[in-house]
Amino acid sequence: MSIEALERLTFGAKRAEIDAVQKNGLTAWIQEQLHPKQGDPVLDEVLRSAVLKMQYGASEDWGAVNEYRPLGSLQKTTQELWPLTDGQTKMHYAERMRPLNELQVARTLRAVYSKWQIQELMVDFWLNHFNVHAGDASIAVAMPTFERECIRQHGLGNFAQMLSGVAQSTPMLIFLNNRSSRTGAPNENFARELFELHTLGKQHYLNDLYSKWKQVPGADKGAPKGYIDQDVYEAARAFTGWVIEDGRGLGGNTQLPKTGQFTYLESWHDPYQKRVLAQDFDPFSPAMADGKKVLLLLAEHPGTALHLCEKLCRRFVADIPPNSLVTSSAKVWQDNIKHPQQIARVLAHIFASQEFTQALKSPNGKKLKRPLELAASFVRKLELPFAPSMGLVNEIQHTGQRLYLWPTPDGHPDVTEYWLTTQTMRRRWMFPWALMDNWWATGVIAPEHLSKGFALPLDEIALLKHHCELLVGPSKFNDIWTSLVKTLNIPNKRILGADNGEFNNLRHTLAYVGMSPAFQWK
Amino acid sequence: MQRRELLKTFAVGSLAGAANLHSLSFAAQPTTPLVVVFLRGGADSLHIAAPVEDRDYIAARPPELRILSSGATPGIRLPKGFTTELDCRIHPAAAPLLDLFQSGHAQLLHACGLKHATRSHFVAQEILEANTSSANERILSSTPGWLTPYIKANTEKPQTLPFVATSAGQMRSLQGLRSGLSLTGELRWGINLTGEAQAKSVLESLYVGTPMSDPLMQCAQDTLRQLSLLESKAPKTGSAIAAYTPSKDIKYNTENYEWQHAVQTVAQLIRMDIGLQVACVDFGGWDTHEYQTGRINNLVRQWASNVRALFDDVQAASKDVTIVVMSEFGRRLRSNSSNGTDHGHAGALWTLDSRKRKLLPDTQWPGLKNEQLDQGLDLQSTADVKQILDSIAKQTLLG
Repeated sequence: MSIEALERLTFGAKRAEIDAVQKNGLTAWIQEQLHPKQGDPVLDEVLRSAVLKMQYGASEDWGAVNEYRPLGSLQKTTQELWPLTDGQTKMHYAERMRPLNELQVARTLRAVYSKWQIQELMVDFWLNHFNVHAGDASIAVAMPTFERECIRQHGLGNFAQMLSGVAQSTPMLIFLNNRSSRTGAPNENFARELFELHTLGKQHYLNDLYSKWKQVPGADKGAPKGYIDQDVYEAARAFTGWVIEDGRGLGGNTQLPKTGQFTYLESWHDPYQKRVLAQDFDPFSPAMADGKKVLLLLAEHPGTALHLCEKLCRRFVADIPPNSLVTSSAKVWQDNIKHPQQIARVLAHIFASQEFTQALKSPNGKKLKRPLELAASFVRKLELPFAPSMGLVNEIQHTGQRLYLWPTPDGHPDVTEYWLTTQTMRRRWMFPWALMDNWWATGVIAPEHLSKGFALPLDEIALLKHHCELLVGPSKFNDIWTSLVKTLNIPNKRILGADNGEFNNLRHTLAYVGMSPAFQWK
Repeated sequence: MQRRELLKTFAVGSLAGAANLHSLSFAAQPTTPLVVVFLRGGADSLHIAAPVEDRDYIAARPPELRILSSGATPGIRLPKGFTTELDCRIHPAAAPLLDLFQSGHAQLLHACGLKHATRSHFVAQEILEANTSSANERILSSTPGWLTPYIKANTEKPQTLPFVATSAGQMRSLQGLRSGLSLTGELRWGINLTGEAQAKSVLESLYVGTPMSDPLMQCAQDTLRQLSLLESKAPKTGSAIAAYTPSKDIKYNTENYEWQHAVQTVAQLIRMDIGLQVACVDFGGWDTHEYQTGRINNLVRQWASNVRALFDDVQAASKDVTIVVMSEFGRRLRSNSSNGTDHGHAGALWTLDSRKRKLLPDTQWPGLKNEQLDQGLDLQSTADVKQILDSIAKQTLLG
């Protein structure tokens, strides 16, 4: 089971990872992964030396550009990048959107090279959970900070802390419009999705009760089981004044500075008494106290534990997660509600559970690789050269995974049914071939990449068998190999020259292995 | 599909009544392809079609969030209003639809919504797209798409394409179906197989087995079948699939690449005569909590121009088509402080039908006075949108 678990918990297990797990056991590997202490020198070097093309034609306002640039915005703050949003400064649109493209290619590099694979999978999980569509420059420039300081920082940490960061983050304040919400007629967008998507979930939306808060089960004891529209309206009031410094006018001659950072605007806040989740809020509370109280009520609500644990189990265990595991995970979640490693503890519980082990053996527990996982696992298992490529990012997008560009706040669906259509199938089959033939400038696959450690003269068949087994593992090797031998008339032995042209056959046959059913599942 | 199974499917579904089911297997007249355009995000129906001089309408919103009766860009008066005593107009950017209203091809039903009204996008979309009128989470999540039984009811003919969805991932309305096409971007780039003939024979040998128990197998086999069907039927330039060039008098709006090619793909497939029954086309971006004025203007222009172009394109080839346009809910009557509107209840349905059938009932306009509003906030629903959608699907797909 260890190898199956490893496939589930990585972007494709590499030979070295499989060896380590076979030697030291899965539990030790998981424990290390859940507490990533040291750095990651390999990935750091990859990110430091990576370059991405910038190319556009000349206009009357700028000259033509055609050059490779490092991924310079990943470490920058929102304030440093905010000038890219200034319409007064003339620049090509590609310059304004550059931070988004750097993040997109960095995601592919991290998937392939990161030592901390569970952490990377959790970054993907949380970026979906707190989904923001970054197709707008003002959000794009704030995404590096959002990913660094909200998502990565707390991805294995404490949920309440992450939630608090997200609620004050520039991308969320723009995407769900809280930045323009003010007393009188507040904007409900953020408040509604905070309840429905970020915390309690739609299963706790007691729509039929609408405004009858006293009838919500548990409300009489101050512990309502779910929320109603009235909670959304009141919470929207609580968050009025949570805005960003986007330069907007405040009346008279005053205006907000232009830094893109969070600020609290007292004059926009609705200070009067409120009632959220059967709790009374005093009028005229201190700055931001109303909003913070809403966040804490939601973060610590048992309904949130159930909603989040169900999502975690759906991601890692099965499309229809076992109830018993959701319930026991929610208990671990609540028991560690203030713990700085709350999320890591819940994950450790899930991965050590009977249900997880069962799911890895069951047809109902299958999880399809997401397109990024499909591409990354092909590269990782064959240890192919891999460079930043917007071509690959775009293909991943057309295969249904829109990195940073899912349009609605719910994030991608997490069930096989969504990921399987004729379009995604056709494009999934394209990935291995395109990577092998370097269609998207991810890197030329030269003879030496596939023949390392093999004696001359090279036997093509031995090479093929070796790499085929790396891709699908020993248990699935035979079926696929037998089928390929038959269809392609593969002989028992064939000597390869050093000429790259002769490698076409080899590359394409390995691409077929990447197109096989076995390679589609995690 | 067996008739008995079909009856079972409908019994748990939301079809108005079993009385009409006897006609299912005896199609009275040939069916027409049904194009379902989903305006995702909750389109503000009160900013697309409204009684412009209603006092409560004027009181609830600033002029930039209303359709106006005068000024630089007044709304366009409908030949037949949805409430007789008031001046009913559509957004000026919806101008391309006007003469279809005059000719009787276009219809509008205002104030329709879900019986279990909800202000949640995701619950509302789920109820609208699942084949049930229940709002129960468990029932919803295990129910196929609302269009699924209609497509299954028509015996599958070989060499046909039952549906197309212009999205990469699976469309909820079609859940439970596989053998159709999903496609984004231009059709000509979406149907060739990497590795060509050799890859095809390898894939056919790798993906053998019983598809029923394995969704991947089923999808792979359908993909191979549908791609070779399309490859054989699509018009070519030399050996390559030809680019689509609509005739000059068909005016597609090209501002939004995805949306433009989605509708053009549908037009191409209907013109290709491969038995297309249903097309699902998403057009998102309608969640206008903020800066609604400019956004609605752009959205309505792109929407109206392209459904009109699609309709004209298909008609020019002497084919039939029915287009229905829906959204998960309408928006709040009163605007918010962000120059936008929050989630509401009732919205509007639109149809374009080449046969000028009356597919929508007349609007029962509920009024906009506070006591006439749903919960004092939203346009009251006076028609069950799911029942109406089912009746449209029945008339178009089952004949």
